[in-house]
Amino acid sequence: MNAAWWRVARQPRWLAGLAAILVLAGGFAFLAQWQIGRAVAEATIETVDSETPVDVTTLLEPMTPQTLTDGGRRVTVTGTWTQQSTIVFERTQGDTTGEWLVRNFMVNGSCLPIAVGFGTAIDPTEFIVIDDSPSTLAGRLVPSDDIIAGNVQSDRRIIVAAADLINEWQCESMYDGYVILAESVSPLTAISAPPPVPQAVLNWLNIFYAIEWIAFAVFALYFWFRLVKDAVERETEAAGEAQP
Amino acid sequence: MAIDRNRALRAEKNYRIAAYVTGGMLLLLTLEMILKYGGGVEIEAGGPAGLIALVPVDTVSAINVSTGILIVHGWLYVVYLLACFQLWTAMRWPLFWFPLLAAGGVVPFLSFFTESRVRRIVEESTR
Repeated sequence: MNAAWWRVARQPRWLAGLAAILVLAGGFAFLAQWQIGRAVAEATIETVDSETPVDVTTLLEPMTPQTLTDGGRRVTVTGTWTQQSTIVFERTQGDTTGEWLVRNFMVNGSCLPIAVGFGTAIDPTEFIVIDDSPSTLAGRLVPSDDIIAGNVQSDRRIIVAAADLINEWQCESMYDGYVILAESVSPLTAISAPPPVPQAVLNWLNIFYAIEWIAFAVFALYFWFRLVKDAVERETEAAGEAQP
Repeated sequence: MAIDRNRALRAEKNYRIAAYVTGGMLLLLTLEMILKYGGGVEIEAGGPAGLIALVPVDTVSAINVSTGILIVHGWLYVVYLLACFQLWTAMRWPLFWFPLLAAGGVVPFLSFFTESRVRRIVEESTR
């Protein structure tokens, strides 16, 4: 943008052109904003009543993956305790790092891991339940932790995953996921399990359209700049032809 | 004012490619709109119904090809506009020709007509 460009750009004709382009770009920007608004308004919020307890067997089938929307729901579980348990390390609660006691609970002949409570230096033998009559527990259903490299350690367990525990406990059938008990057993403390946050899914089509409208607005301004530049070039050429 | 012949021919080539790609994409999009608003179905890829399947609107559980077409067409249209602009400046056409070229990317089949027209005009003026 040299002096000649500015001189031409300041001409009323080109200023009027700029005004028109600005209106156009403003229109595009408005459309972009409208698209963003639509993207947010159309964001589908997964509304699952997570706070009314339901029997876990209505949500889960043995050996079937848990659906995404059922994570964090309050559930009741009826079954019997087994003598099998495991300690899961590297669990944090607030500022404290500790362990979870996870026990195997049989529901209709399938294993369902129950995260009983949080504590430090847990000795599983202190928590053996001798009663093998059916009991009903209340808690939150949580999806299995991800099994990824680094999560599976040979000397100790740091995740709760059905695929890992099915071998440990020699289960013939197993539910995917586990239940965090609402009330723990003394001296363990209850594991904090907040209700799930509603998942909003943005409408990406509208987001992409919004970006496009912004691109169009920028392009409109460039268009004007180019037109002025062309006019300058035409003037220079005409001047060159006039004076050979 | 003189036209830079090489620049114009190069721009015409880019425009031609962009016109065919965008024009083709636009036909896909038109088909999709007919399916969606006429037939009430969307195109789904890799879902439970098969590799490519037509499923009722808003029930797509795998890759939504319909939305994909819309997004891809949107961005191809940006490329198409740039190609139009490149050609339009190279040919030093009047202002109102630009929206005419631009319309080719949004009116089904139009780009194929404008493209052949444009090619003839460019060939004549660069001869």
